[in-house]
This record gives sequence, C-alpha cells and structure tokens, in this order.
Amino acid sequence: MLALIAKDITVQKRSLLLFVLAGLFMTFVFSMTDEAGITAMVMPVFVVGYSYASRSLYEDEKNHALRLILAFPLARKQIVRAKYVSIALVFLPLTVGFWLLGRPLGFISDSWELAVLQLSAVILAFAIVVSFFLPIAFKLGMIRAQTLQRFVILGLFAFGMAGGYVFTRLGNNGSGPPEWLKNFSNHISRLSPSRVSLVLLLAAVLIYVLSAQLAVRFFERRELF
Amino acid sequence: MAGSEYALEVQGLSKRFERFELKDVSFRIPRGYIMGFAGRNGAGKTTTIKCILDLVKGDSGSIRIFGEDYANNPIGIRDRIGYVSEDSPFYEDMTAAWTGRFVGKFYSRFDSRQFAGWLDRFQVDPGKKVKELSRGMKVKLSLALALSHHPELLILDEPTSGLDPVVRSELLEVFLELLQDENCTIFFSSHISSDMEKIADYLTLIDNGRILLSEEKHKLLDGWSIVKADNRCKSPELDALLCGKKEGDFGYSGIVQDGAEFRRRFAARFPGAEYRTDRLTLDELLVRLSGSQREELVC
Repeated sequence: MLALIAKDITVQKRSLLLFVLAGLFMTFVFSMTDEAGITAMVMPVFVVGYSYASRSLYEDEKNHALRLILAFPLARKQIVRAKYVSIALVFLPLTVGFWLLGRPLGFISDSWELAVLQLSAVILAFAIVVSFFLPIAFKLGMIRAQTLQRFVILGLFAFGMAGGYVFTRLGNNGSGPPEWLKNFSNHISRLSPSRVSLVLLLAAVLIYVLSAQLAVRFFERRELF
Repeated sequence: MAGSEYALEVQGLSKRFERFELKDVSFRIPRGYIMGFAGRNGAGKTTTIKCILDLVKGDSGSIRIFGEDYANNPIGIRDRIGYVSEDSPFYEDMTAAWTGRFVGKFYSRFDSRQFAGWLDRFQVDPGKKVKELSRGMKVKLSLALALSHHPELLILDEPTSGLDPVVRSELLEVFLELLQDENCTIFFSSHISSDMEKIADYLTLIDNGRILLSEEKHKLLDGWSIVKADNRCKSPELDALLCGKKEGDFGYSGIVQDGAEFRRRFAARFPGAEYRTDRLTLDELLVRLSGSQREELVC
C-alpha cells in the first residue's frame, strides 16, 4: 500500500507543486480584499485538494495504468484504501499549512479555540465533498464520473446556499428557524469550541471511512475494459 | 493441486455484454508450452484474457491456474503471472527505471538486476520517460517487467501487433528462449497468424465469442487440408464434409478435417474425376472456419 501512496505523490510531483502555487496565488489575491475571512483559506485548500484527488485518479486511468496495478498481486481494497490515504496525506498538511498562513494574514480567528474550530470545519467540508466524489469515481471510472461529479458538487453548493437562504428568510420573517433547530444551535453554542472541533473531526473521519468502504464495494464489482 | 499438469484451464466461460457474448469458452494449456490464441479483431481474445486476469468477471464457468481455482487465491496466483497488454499501461511521465522500481515492489520474486539486464538487451533506455518510447520499446519494457518477476505463466495480449517484423521476430525468439531456460508457460493472443505458426505448440481459435478449435498445432495443420475441385463435381454429401466453402465460376474450395473420407466419397460419387489438395496455413484455417461460422455452414 505504501508503494501505491508513494506512486500517487511521485507521479503528481510537478502538478502538485503547480496546484500549491495556484493556491498561494489565490490566498494572495484574497489578502488584498478586506472581507475575505475564512474563504481565503477554504478556496485555495479546496482547489488544491480537489485537483490533487481528481488528477490522481485521472493519472491511473490515463493510458490504462490502472490495468497495470490490477494485474499486481494486490486486493482491490488495498488500491482503494491507498488512494484515500494518499489524498488525506496531501490534504491535511496542506490545510494546516494554509491555516497557519491565514492566521498572520488575518483570515483566521485570533482565538486559538475558534481557529481550531474553523480548521475542523474546513476538514469536515472537504471530507464530505471527497466522500461523494471518490466512490463515484471508483464505480464509474474517473473519466466517466467527471460529469456526474460536477453535478454532485454543484448540488452540494446549491443545497448549502438554499439552506442559508431559507434560514435567512425565516429570520427576516421574525418567526426564526424551527424549534428543533433553535434547540440544536442552543445546545451547540453551550459546548466549548474545542469539543465542537473534536465532534467535527470525528464526523470527518467517520464519513471518510464509510466512503472508503463504499468505494471498495464499488471497485470490487467494477469491470475494466 | 499445485502439481497440476496444466498451467491454465478455462472451462465453460461465458460473459454477456450488450453487443457481444463469450459463449462457453473452454481450453487448457499444459505446463511448459506456448498456446497461440488466434482470432479476428473483436473475436473475443482480449475479453477472454481480461476474464482470466479478473479484470472482467465471467457470468459462468471456471478458471483454474496451476490447478488452483483462481477465485480462491487471486493474489497468490497473480504473483506467478506475467501480463503484457497490447496498450502498454504505464505512467507516461515516469521513466522506464522508475516503472521497474514501482512494479518490483509488488512481486515477491522481482529481480531488479534482471530487469536492468532485460532493458539492456532490448536497448530500452532506463532514463527515458515512457511517453518518449516508441510502441515497440513500450512492448519491450512491458515484457522486461513481466519477465523480471519470473512468471510461471506469461499472458501476452497482442504483444506483436503494430510492431515491425524485426522487433516481432526478436520478441518471438525471446519467447522460445524462455521455454528453454525457465519453467514458463506462454498464452499468446494475436491476429498475426504467422507468429503463431512460428512459435506455438498449441492453437486455440476463437471467433464471435466461441472457440472454434483448440488443438496441438501440428495436429491442426496436418489434420486439416484444403481441397479444390471443379464445379461439375459438386454434391451435398461432399458439402457436408467441407467447412468454409467458397464457390467460383469454375470451381469450389473448402477445408476438410477427414481427408480420407472426402477422398472415398469423391471417388465413389465422381469416378475418374480429380481434385487438388493443398496444405493448410493457419491464416486459411482461421479465415475458412470464421467464415463457415458466419455463414452457418455445417462443419
């Protein structure tokens, strides 16, 4: 499995460097705006992380390199798990790096507890996006799955925006959000930021692991022509 | 079961797709021999190989390798198989040397020095990126990788298609050397029948997803013959013995497996008349048998 992880990073050495430079450029552009906030960290991290993940799958399918790997004495679940680990190994240091960069630039909260909460939220959001993306790619193949994935990602954003819009409308109407949501947010606000961070990180790990299991199932049934 | 006399046994393999079907594919290769797997483009050669390698799951049938059911020990069996694909599936931006180091990490018996030796013999520059190699060089790299982990079964999917005759001949020589020096069995698919005639001990012919014949090469080519006779000497009882019959303005031809029976029936039906017999080439056999199946002639 280690050899597969090392392969993912080695094959993409140059493009990964370009993705990181693009991310830094985005951070620089955001730093010139006054109200960028956490977006200045989220956007570059998502762009670099997502580009790495999709490029990594694409490299395996380009020239049918996946067939070479499938002929190895390896179980298919090892191939899937290696991909998940490789994406996590690239994404986590990258996110922490941009997070550390964001603090002196003022994108991240000054309070350490809130800053860690922001970091955890970014990790969870990325885990959710990638956890949709990877099983589809392992089921259909990266090239066929690309179109579907665009809809999934657009759908996730649309869902988030629609949710925000609904709650804003509810707030404006004076009736506020539903009772259960009020209770839930009251309960959350009573928790310490460190505890919420821990819950978010655990949720990210759980979603990622479940996604990996689903991807293994899909990939074990997939036929490669 | 590890002592089975067959390296590969495929029994009743079927796989249905929307527009194509493998139907009851069965054949077996004794250890230490080369089997040529011949058929037209689209006949089902690559699909059969993909089923053997578990890239595609068969709907029914069984695949046994070295006497072991493939489904029970796919990882252990794959460690003993070398695979050379027609499309050289490599990471294009990486070098031949890196590819060797990468592949070597997965096989228990991979020999890096031997890999370097094969590259040297094939004149493949280890420092060159895969994308800079010609098609022939990529096939050689593929073969060097497959040979360096000492496979007991080498599966080659159209390795010589698209190569010039010099490189093809060079590769065929390597295959023959392998049989002499190593404990290796070779399953070799191609639509280039002259390559098969040169090196194969056994031949399996496939067309439209069905196995037409699977036999020792000399029995096949010696057993079948091509007959050519005048149109005046036609009869249904002779037609019943002919496969892939072709008719012209003056005469007809076809292939027969039982030459003696044809001779007897011909002499009885047309006393004093003559017909010509030629030795059959694999090309002709393939064309005639594929044709006879297409036209649904009785063989």
